[in-house]
Amino acid sequence: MEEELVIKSKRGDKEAFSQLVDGYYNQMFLLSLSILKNPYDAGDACQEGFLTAYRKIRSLRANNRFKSWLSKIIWNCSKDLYVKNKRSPLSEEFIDLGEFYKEDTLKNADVYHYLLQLKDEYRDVLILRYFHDLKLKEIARLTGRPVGTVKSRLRYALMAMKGLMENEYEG
Amino acid sequence: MNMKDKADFEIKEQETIVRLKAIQNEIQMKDGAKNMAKRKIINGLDKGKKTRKVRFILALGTALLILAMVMSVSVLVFPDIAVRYAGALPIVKELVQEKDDVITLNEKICSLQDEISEQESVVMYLEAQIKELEKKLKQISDEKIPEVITSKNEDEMLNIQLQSLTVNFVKAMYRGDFEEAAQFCTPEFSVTVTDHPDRIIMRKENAVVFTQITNIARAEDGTYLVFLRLNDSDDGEADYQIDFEVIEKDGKYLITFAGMNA
Repeated sequence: MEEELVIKSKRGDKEAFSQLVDGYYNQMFLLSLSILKNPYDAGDACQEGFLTAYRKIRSLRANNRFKSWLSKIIWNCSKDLYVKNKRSPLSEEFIDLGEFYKEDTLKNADVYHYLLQLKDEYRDVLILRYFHDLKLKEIARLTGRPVGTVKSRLRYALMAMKGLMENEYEG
Repeated sequence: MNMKDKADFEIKEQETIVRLKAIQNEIQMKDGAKNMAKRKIINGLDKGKKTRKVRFILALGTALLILAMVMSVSVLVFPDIAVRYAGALPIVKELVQEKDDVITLNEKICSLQDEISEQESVVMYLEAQIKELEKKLKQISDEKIPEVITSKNEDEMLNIQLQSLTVNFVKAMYRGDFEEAAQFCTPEFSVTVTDHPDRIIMRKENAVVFTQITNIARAEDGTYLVFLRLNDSDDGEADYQIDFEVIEKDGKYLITFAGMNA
């Protein structure tokens, strides 16, 4: 189904691409938000990212890797905006997800908040690996770090995340 | 860590991964916010499409212009066509002569190309030799370590300062002096050094030997990278690498990350 939408989008089918936007906007917004920590900037980065994806979709070789490919574009747009703006996040520790997200879907939002508390480099590898299914090599290329460094960061990040979650349960 | 602890650890790690993977599907945007964002994107697609159409028309126009130019000069460029239709004209004879000259030139070019490819293989060999020579032994913090040049244009004073920092850090870790090692690090990373030194270094009782170090490279975000290879096994076969990241903070260089390159 998704591959069909990608093929149609490559032929310039706007409706098909709009269905892809519908399917992935939520996840891409979370990705961007975790980098920019500012929902308004995240919206801008997503808009830029999806438009870039539409313009370049013919360069996507494997139609079944659309999500990873799109993640990389959104990632780059978010990082570019982060560098460009250097704007302070709305809140360093807490983003009011309730403004943008349905309340009844925020039962496990604590995990996302723990994620935002991690150091940038740890948070980045976790999101790219487990939200967006990127391979270690792809993460290495995207973050400009060796694969070995990505591996060790992933290990530390999981430990840190586990620690935060355990503290919460014990507390 | 005994077998049970290890199993518990792995189970908890898996649970963390499962919960992480679940977030992106669990948390759902409000319809209003999502629809507004989607509308903005869809409107933007039209703009992109118009631009592409204009670009296509311009490209087509350029292609047609080039084709017309090629056709109009082809009779002059290709002597065979001219000979067939106007062989007696002096200008045609000149064109034929020009054609012969071009053939001779082509032959010369081919032989030159052969020479160049031979020269290229010599250059490749020499480059390999130079690369070997670049691995020079360097005195860093009382140690002689082969240095590999992986990047250029960094200040040599700073290079040796940061290389010494990483070597001194590893030496302190191997001495078991984690407090001293922590002093080379940022406050955030020093917590990992003192509380979980095993995450950074597989410390054995044997003496550590430094087998290779890279010169510093500067990442886009200003972080300095140094890769240091070590060996601490009896048989000398277990080389492993530690990747360092160093930042400048208040005029001081501090390690912000050190991890085994798996």
